Amino acid sequence: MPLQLADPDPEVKRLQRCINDLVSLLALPAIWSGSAPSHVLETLLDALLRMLGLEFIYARVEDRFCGKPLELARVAESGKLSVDSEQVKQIVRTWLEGDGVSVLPSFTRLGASTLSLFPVPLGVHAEVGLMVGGSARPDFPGQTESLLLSVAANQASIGLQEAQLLSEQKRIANELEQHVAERTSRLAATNEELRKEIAERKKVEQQLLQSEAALQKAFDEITKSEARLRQVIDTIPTLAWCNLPDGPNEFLSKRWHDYTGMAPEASYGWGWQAAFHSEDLPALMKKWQELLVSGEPGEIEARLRRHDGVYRWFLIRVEPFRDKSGNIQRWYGTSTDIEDRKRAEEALRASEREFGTIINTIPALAWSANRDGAAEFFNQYYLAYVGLPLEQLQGYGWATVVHPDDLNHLAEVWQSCRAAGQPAEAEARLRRFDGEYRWFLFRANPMRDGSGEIVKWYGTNTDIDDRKRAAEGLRRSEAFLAEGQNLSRIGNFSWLVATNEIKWSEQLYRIFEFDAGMTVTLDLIGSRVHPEDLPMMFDMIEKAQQAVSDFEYAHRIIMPNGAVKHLHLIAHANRDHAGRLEYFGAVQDVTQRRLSEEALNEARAELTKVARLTSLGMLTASIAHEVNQPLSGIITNASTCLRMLSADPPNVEGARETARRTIRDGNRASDVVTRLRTLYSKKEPDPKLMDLNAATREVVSLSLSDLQRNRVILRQELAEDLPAVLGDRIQLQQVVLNFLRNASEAMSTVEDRPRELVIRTERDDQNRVQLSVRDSGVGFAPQSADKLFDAFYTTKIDGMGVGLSISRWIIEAHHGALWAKPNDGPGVTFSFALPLQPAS
Amino acid sequence: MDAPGIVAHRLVMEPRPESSAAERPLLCVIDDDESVRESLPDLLHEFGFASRTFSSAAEFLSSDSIPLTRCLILDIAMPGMTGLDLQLELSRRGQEIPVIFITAHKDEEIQEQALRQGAAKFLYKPFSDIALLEALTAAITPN
Repeated sequence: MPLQLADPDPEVKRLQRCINDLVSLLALPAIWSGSAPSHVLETLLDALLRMLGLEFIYARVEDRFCGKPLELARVAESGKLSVDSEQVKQIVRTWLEGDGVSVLPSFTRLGASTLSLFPVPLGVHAEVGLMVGGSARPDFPGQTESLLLSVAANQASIGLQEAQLLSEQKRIANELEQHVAERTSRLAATNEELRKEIAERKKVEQQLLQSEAALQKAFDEITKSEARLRQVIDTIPTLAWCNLPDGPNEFLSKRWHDYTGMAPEASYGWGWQAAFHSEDLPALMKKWQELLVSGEPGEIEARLRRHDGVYRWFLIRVEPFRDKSGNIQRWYGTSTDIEDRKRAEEALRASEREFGTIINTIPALAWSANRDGAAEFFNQYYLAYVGLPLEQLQGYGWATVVHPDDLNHLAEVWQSCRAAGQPAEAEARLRRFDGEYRWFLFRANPMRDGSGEIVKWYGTNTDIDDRKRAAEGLRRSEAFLAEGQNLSRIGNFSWLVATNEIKWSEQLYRIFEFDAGMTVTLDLIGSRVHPEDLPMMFDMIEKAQQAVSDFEYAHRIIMPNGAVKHLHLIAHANRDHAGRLEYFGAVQDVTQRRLSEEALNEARAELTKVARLTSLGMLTASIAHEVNQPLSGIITNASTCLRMLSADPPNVEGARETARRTIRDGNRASDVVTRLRTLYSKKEPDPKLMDLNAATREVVSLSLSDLQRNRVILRQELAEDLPAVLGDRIQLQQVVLNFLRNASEAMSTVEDRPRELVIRTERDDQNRVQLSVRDSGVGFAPQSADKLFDAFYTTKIDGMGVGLSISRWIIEAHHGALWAKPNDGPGVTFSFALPLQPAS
Repeated sequence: MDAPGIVAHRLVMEPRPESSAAERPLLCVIDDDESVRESLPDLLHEFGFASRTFSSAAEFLSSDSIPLTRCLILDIAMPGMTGLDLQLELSRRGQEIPVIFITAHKDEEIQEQALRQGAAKFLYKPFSDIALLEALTAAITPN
């Protein structure tokens, strides 16, 4: 309640007023409580405007106090100014920006008035805001007015701050409310979800229970059906069983137990192994393990032991049983008795083997073809022969091993025989594995079924190569024979006595100078026979017709031109296939030989000279060598001698030795010449008492080089006390030389053994001096022994066989003997023997 | 005179004791001709060689002279193994020893064969000492 005084002093009144104003101001915050900042400001400004009698009042509050910067202005209604609040704001702003602020009080012109402006900060540092009063009084603000303004400012600040706080609180409260609301709604949502989940769970539980019930029902069913199954398994006539996925046995059918005699307790798990044959069990277990790993069905054969101990072959078959997800639940299997089947198989194999052996043993190439002609089967023999595998021959592949020249013909025959449905044969060459072709006889036979249709062709190819070659050989040898007969002037004949059927070879026609192919009769032959020999012929024919014996004779025939031929005939008696007497023989034209034999004796004397000259020819070569040897020695030794004497100092000893040798060799050379001269000049036989050894040695030394050249190893076994013989030295030496030459020549082709020649002289048991020359040469056939000494018999290439005949003549002239004998080993020994005492 | 048989192997011996065999090249003479075996060693010694003689190829082959031989003087016509055979045998054994053939027989074919088989020289008896020396020089001195 304002203080009331009776007529107070105006100052007092002023002061009263001031205190009233202060009280009012101090009461403001209570009014302001809970108001917005703008309200605070408004009330304040209004209060101040009235209290201070201002023209206008302006206030600005920073935005953090009221959310946004607040600007208020109030104009006194009763004032002098005619401005509105907006204009005031503007004026203040201008003034604030200008520099009048720093000078207080500040004056500003406004129309016709001058205003005094006075800023009042709100807050200690005007952080809350600013008030500006505008008064028309120049002395504004006085003391009390300043006081009022400050208090007002303080109150305003407090009020504004409180308002700010309040609005903060409100804001926070709002926010909180919002959060809570949010939270609440979220919780509510979560709750809702949880409720839903629980509801779901409950549902699932329900379902689970339901399915468990169903499962149990199914299991019961299974158990029931298992029992049924077991019944089935026990009933079916096979040994059935069931194993667990990891291998051991779970169940074996009743039959299994009955068969093996093994109780379920024994067989369960792995016990069933004992029922199998110990030899088969390892393979069985291995297979079982493999299947367990691979999960594949499988089978194996093994021997199972029957209750009585007998082992029989069984086929064990097993299959995996999988559940819906593919996992193996069980293995189901059967064991089936295959003993009989196995026995049958073995029997079949055995018989097949046998068949195969048969077909592969028959010494023919066997084959079969289908009815179209394509080859299907070839036996082992065939395959081995051509050296090709079956695949390459099948079909028409075999054509590649047929000789190209024979293939066409063979193919034609094959074609036509198939067309005709008839067996056929053809000859063709088949190539052997090593490329050689051999002749075969191809034979094919059709095989027909019940209705007569050809189902297969069977064939054999037989090797006829040898036969064919033999046939060729025969042809060839026949040709040779004819040729040979021609060359040797021997013809063949056959004479069937009963019918006088005579067959001649070509050569015989030629000998008789009849045309080849003419019918030969005894009369025809007789027409050529020399009249003087005819009686002999008739006689011979008669004898031959009666007696069954070989015969031989020689007769002459006369040719149309008068020429005479000497024939030598030999015939052998024979019975032909019908038992009739038949003669086979040969006739040789020996005209030449006869003639030469007749002339031989005349030629002998001349031949001696020829022989000597020929030997001498050989000697000449020997001579050259014989003289050459000492000459070589002479030259070498003489040269050496000269060099030794030219040395410094001269080698006199050596020179003497070499000179001695030279002279010796010179003498040797002259000896040889002397000997040769003697040999050459001798003409008449001049028997003297002589030493055969010495003569032999001379001949040996003369022939040494020749022998050496022919690589003949010479051994001399000359008897030491050989008696002297009467003989012509030169001639006897010729014989020895001849022997040596022959021996050397006989060994000239010998390569596989030493060419040994042994000369031996001895006194034999017939009181003769014997000389023999033994060689290791090619020898001669025993039947030619006599012929050796025939003047013209020779096996030597150079043809001069006269040596031996001359030798024999010489020895015989000495009343001695000369002969030749084959050795026990290779070669021949030629010998001659001379009587000690001259024969009468 | 006894003809030589191949029964006894007689080694006709060495060069003179006063010559030191170590410095002289060794030649081997193989000939069944005794006069050759008698006369050649002295001549070869005068030439400055050491020599050994053999009467047969077999004797030479069974001796220990093969690796030491610088050159062979070899007869062709010998009983048993000929000179040509010996040359082949040595060649087969990998022993490449120069060979000078000496022979009395003039035979073109044999000469050609010998030269084909790699003979260094072919001399006909009787040969001069100069001819032999030339042949030896040519055979032993590498070209």
